[in-house]
Amino acid sequence: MFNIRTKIQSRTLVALLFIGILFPPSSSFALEEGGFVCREESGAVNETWNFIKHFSYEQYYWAVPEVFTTWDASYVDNMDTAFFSGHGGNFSITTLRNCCDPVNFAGGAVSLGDLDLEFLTIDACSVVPSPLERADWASGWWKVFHKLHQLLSFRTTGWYDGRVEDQYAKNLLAGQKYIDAWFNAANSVRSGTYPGYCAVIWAYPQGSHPGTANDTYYSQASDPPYDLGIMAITYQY
Amino acid sequence: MKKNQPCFILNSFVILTILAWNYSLHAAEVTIMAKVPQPKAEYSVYKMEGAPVNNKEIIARCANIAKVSGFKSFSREMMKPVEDRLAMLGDEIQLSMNTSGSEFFYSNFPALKLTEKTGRLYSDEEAIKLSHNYLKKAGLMPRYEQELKIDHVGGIMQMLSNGKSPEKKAVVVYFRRELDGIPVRNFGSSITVTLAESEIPVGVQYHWREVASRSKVSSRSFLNADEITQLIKEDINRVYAKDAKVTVDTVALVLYDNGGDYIQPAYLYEGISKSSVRGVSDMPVLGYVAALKKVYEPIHHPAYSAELKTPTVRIEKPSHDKDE
Repeated sequence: MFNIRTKIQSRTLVALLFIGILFPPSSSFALEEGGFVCREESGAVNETWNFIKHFSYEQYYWAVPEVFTTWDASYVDNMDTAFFSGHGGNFSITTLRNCCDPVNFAGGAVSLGDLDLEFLTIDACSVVPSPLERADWASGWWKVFHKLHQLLSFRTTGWYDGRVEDQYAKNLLAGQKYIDAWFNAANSVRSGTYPGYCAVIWAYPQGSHPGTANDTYYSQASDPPYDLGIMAITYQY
Repeated sequence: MKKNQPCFILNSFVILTILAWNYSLHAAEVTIMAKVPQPKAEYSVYKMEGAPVNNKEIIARCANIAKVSGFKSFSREMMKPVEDRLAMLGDEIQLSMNTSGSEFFYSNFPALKLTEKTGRLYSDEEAIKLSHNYLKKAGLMPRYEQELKIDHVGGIMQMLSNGKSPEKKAVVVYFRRELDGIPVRNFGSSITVTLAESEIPVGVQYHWREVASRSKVSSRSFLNADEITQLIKEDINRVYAKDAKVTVDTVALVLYDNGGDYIQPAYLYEGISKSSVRGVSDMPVLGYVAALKKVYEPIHHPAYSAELKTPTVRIEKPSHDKDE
């Protein structure tokens, strides 16, 4: 929507310099982006590429469970904004087709934000259940949110042809808040079941921390506590 | 040469058998429960208006939308050309319109109160009425208002981990189109309006262009039920996992709109793909296949666009993986 890649990058640079001089952010900029793709899934390739192509990204890898778990310090958690596309279910994804090499976020093996990551977008079906799907919607995320700001995904079908991801990146680069950018992108092409409804888990204000609802690509709140006291889910229906 | 002929036939038979066996191993299990309806109503193919509008007119339309949206500090200089559109990228309010005026996005989502209690929201009926009023005032109401139908009314909800129940943050009205009494599907004719506490929307996503001309199609122009069934099976095999078990519950004749030059008849199929993997959700199935023998523009599954090309950039293996 907003320009070819080089122009976006130069515009982004100018904007970053401008914002950086006038309004220093309370925390780090989301400057490192990584794309992680479900193996043997051409749809996931298109979706990830249509997001990551807008950035001078640092990582673009086929996904294996370890990039989220044991090697996360070098991969997902080493980014500021990470994007995965593939198949999913409640609190879980598969990194090979829709069958194999799963990552179970509720199992305690995924801890994000303790190194660097602020925003994880999981472009997959039903990964973030809302209270409409299950009363224990928060149960799978407590051990994942270790200073992570937001996890953006779908509560229903998360499958489209790359337009949602393309628009999402454009919205972020235009300065929209992460939540708005994600919701607006899905709304921009929704017709019937596809794409489904979005859901975002985020750190709600607690103690002296203002919460992460207003985070944008260019400016974010400081990292939330390592162990969250309150998390919020915002979701569409 | 003649001596080798039986050998050649036998070899060909073996190869074809292996290929067929291989294909059956790599094909989704598709069960079509629904009957393919034959066209009853009179169907048409619609050629859409698509001529570029000049920048002056786009800016004038956006200025009016900004005014109606209560954005008083709007000035024409704020609209900048970016890609195929003019856009105003403010810190809070953002709006953009493409050069044919058929696509418009407006966002004032900061007006959503995500970290404090939301006041009174409008009922679904009120939201529909307010959305209609806004579209009219903003100059976004379709030329033939009767084409605009309510798809459904949804919303944005929020819940805290220590909360007792979810709180509604906004009402979302999803509009679709109907032409000659036939539903138009896919994103090309859709309007989404999000309303929070104010009667001015916090978000609008608009895809619409008017019909320039229509040409009727005879029932002889349609594919028959067997051909449709075959197309659906092929589409499912192309799009869904090869080990998927897909059941198609409904097949309906609709008008397909991919935002291109035409709106044309197509068959919409819906169902479910059952996952055999624990933890992986069953997936709703929805796709489109051609209804006419002559296809005016490509008709495809929403997740597989002919317009978006597969990237050629190499995806790396994680380096740790190479060590294993």
